[in-house]
Amino acid sequence: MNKELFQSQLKMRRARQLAIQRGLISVLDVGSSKITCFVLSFDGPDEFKDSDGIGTMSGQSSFRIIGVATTRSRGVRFGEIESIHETERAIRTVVQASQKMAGTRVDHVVATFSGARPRSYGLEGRSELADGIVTDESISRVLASSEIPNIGVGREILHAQPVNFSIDNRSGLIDPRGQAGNTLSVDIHMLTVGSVAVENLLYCLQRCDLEVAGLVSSSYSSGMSSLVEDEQELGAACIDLGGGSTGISIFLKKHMIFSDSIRLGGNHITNDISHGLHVDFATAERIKTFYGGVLATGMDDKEVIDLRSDTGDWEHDSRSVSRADIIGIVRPRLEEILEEAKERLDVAGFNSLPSQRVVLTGGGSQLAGLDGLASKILGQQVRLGRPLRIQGLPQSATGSAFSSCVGASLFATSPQDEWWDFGIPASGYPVKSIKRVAKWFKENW
Amino acid sequence: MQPLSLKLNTRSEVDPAPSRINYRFQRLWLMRSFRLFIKWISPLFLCAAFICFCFTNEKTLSFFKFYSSNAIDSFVDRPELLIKLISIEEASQPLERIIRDTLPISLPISGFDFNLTNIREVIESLDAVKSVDVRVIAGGILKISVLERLPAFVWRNPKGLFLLDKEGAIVGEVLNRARRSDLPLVTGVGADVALTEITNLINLLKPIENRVIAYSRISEDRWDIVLDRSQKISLPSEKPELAVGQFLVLNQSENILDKKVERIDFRNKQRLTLTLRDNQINN
Repeated sequence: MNKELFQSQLKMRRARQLAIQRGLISVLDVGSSKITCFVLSFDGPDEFKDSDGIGTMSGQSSFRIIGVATTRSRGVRFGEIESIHETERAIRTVVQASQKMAGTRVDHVVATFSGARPRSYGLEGRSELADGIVTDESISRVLASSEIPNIGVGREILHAQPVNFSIDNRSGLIDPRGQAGNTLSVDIHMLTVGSVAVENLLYCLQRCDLEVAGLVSSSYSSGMSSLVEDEQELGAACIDLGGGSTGISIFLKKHMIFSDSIRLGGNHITNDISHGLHVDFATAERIKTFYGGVLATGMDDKEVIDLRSDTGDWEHDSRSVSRADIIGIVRPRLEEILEEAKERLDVAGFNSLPSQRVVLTGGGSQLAGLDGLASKILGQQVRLGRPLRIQGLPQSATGSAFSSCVGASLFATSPQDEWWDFGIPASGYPVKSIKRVAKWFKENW
Repeated sequence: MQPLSLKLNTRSEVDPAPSRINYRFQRLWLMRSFRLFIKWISPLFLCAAFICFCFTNEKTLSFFKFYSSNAIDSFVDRPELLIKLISIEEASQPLERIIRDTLPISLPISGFDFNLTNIREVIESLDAVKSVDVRVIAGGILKISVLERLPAFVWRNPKGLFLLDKEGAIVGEVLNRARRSDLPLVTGVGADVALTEITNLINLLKPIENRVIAYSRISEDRWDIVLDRSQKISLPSEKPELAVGQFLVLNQSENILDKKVERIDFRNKQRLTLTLRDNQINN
């Protein structure tokens, strides 16, 4: 584990801590089709009572959303920033609008993004317990003992979460500290992303005078928000059908154990409609959202949709198609996306999990009849997921398109322990520096 | 690829995003401390600085003083507030003249420029004035109501000839006894403090009123009644009324004053002493 990563991640942790002390943090979802910003206000746990109808679920009752803004995304493709200045302007727009709604200024931001080719690794560390008992120090040591595979050039670690501890033969320990044993081993789930995309995003945020308090993969955050607690515990996959890319994440025992992303999304469906019907992108988007579907019935043949355009050619401008035609365009692409997702899940070994639950979320999951199609491809336990309820979230932002942003809000308030939260073991420090300290003490005392 | 040099100036291409300056200013403005500074602290500071500048600069200060005194004058000198007339009531002609001469104001005068208590003190300090009521009434009139001391006696003492009221306060000076021949004459040091006694005596002595020249206080203790034809009645210091009563009875029965008596002395209660003129005891 390199020190630089530790430093940068711990710096973000400190920024997050500072923001929570101030009681204000913002969450930014940079997607391919829309950019959303939430402003979160921390009122403390006493603010809400049982009578408010909000129980303590996973810490989401300790904050409240006081500002929300969404804008059409610009300069983002496949969840990656392609035109920095365009994206920067879009970020400025949402941040300013949400600040205006909140009536206050936010300095810290937790950003989530879907692209940058995330790749999952399972790491294993093992170390002998020196004094037969597990301490914080031995956890740091076992984490440090895990061997980092070659993640490739130009990639960096986004998440590295210890998901399982085992002592000797006992596995599945949540918190091994204080337990006796001879060997402590740990399983770590590590997620790496392309560093260029991250750097571009950081550059945009820096240009907007925002300090980064955390970076989250959007497939992770949408899983956090749209899987309910028992699904996270028993094992489930979350498929986030975004605009430019589709995120996949598998949760087990409340930890994400796998994450991937397909570079296909809702925009491709729109693109297909645009190609197939010779209409512009905006019209195609409109047709998709109003008339899109996956299962054609006899009724759909009769439903005729006018394709309005203004080329001046009367024949061209007064065409019409039936809804069945549109379904005929949408369905193959959706099947392609879902089959790709199925393939990725199979590769990850989703079949061997005790529960085969699949939750579809993201803006693309709003297509009519998607659950029927998905259950044919992904198995019977498919449901459409919507993000958790959050205090203060306006109705317009409670849809499944906002699940990754809501998940990032949860991440901002109560992040899971990651590798860097456990500290570097003392043996990891260079011996020279300790010797130097000892020498200094000798000379001066 | 979009043209990189494209300026977003056509109406349909208006960028919804705020400019960086706009964005930064808005963020600044959303800071509570900045808002407080712009809205309250800096205006207050500017005002304070301006006032300090004005009051430390000699030129502006003198200009300010000049301007403010002008403004005050123009207000004070308004005709509505001027006092144009003094009306003195219940005072005799000479006293009125004296009051007008002594008043320390010249008409017309603004109501702000004089002090009523001061004027009252000045008028009350006059001998002939017992008490005074000074007030300004509508129409710019200063009304002075005087309660005058009325002269009741003429008092001759070593310093001169004075008029006294009933209580013995000096009302004024006269040059000549003849001018106030209507008033009884008292003489002697300390006569002014014993005037209540003499008032009684005068009432009793009504029958021989036209013969009395003066009531003379002797040794600040007792009275002598000085009559014409060089006659004199000496009264005791205690209960002079009884002695006068005795005298009147004596006079009525014996016409004692028509005898050649120079002095009738009642000082000794047991013994009336008559001093005869030129030893004419035989008559």
